[in-house]
Amino acid sequence: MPFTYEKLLEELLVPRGGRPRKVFFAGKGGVGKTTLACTAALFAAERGNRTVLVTTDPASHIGEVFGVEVGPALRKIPHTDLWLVRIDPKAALENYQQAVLATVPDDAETQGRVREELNSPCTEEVAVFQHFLDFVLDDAFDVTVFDTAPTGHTVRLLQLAWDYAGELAGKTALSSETAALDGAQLAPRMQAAIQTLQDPGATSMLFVTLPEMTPIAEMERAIADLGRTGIATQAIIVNEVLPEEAATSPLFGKRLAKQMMYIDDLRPRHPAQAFATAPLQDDEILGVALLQQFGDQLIH
Amino acid sequence: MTQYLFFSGKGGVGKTSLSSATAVRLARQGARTLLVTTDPASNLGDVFGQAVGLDARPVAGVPGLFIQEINPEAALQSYKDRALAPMRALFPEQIVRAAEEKMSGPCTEEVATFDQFIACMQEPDYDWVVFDTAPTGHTLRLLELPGSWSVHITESAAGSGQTCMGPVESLTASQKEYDAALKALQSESQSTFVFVTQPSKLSIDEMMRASEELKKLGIHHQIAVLNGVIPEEERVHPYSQRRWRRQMPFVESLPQEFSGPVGMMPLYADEIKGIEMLERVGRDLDDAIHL
Repeated sequence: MPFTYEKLLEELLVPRGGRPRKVFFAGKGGVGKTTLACTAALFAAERGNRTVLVTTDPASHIGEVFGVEVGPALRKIPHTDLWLVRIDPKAALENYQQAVLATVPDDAETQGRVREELNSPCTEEVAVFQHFLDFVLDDAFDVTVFDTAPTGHTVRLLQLAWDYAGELAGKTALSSETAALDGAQLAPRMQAAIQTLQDPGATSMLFVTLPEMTPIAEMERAIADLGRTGIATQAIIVNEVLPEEAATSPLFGKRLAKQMMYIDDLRPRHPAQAFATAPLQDDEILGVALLQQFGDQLIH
Repeated sequence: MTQYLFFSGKGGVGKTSLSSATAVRLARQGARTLLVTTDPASNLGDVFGQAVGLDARPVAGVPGLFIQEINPEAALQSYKDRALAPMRALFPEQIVRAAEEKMSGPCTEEVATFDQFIACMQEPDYDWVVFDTAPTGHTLRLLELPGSWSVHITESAAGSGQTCMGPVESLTASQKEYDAALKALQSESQSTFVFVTQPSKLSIDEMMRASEELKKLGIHHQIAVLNGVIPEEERVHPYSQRRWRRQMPFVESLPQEFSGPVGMMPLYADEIKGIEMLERVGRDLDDAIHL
């Protein structure tokens, strides 16, 4: 057999030892994170776990995949234990701005300065992540699946924010995030969330890539970066691998051989991670039936 | 007047291949052409089999063609160096480190990259500048920046002079240039946007959304390329035939749905590398779309 297609371990997608599980799909745009997140969420739900699928991407198509509208309120998929929700970046940004402004001195000059900084294009990223943490900390569901994952940068940013909270008491304009941490419950919450992310008993960090040179190189950089924050990647999923029957086609056969070359090259570099290959499907994976079919091929 | 070509689309749809093939073709037709990649995942060096640098370099074997890379990491580093230098004298080491991490994110990287993107649009020496842009969401934010960013700069300059990216002076030097860049992007006689998509539902939906976004920004000169269409002679193999049946509805419907011209490009068995292969793709592309 020239080719082997390895399956993703079921234990990465369901609660372990009775603990609720958070499942993250990380990777660049276009590699299939959303499809895999939808597949994993439906799989977990169908095994009797109350499951929520969370997206932070305003352009996310989880709604298109399930054929329902998805908004900031939990939406149940009929006849399943699966709920969908989308974090609205604009609402997250507003809440975040309010939270920060409430924690800084109430004089016009400080408020004005912080408000101005909070209008900068970088704030939304932090605000969305703040809201994201609510779902990381919430144990109301057995399984929480995220179709995106924090990067090493995001985590370091938050760690720095609380490490230096004391020193930044002067509240220069660069420290509005820190101001928020000083105040309410944000610092301990954030610390707890990051501890959850670092705990393989509670979190699965799964990277998705394609069997091509540049997506693989990018993934390896991202895994290393995230690793520096103490968050280990538990599995690598190579998506869109051509099925074996394509091998006899003059066109697809040549492409498949190249894919296998990249996979054989990648595997030995990551002995600490579980490994899976997801076969390219004929149809775009839309709707519950195709998600189930894909799940059966992918998960073991 | 320099003409601009922007290749847009999700990661992995073939922007680098098609923009490279176009640039080779333009140069072969006698136009002095610069090909710029702003895609952090670009493999332009592999495609041409030669090193790509931060400055324009001639391509061996194709007179009149130059390639250049905007490396987001390098762009970010030089931006951070500029912005952090004045802070080092005023703040303790730990605070500077916190600020540096804060300036290490995708947002600042985009701003820094865009800074250099603008510089490439102001190269008067070329007849054509071809941009192999980054994936869709990224590209959109990049292109939305001239408007929203210049507003932000103005507001900030009136206030304390601080932005999340660093002191305003490291940004405003060329605010006029950003506004001019947006005008050039909107000019039908100067700029063309080529949307590359696969013949599949989500890829096309996303492209249509991106196309609408650009129209809202006043950018209307758009072409779509359906990439990876299974060639006719291959459609006899059972697997290829099944795949083709899935593509066919989109091949038929897109020309009706998309407001601009639509071209079709075949799926190739070989990786698109080397001048000879690029010339072959360029010929196919010339048949598919007219620039």
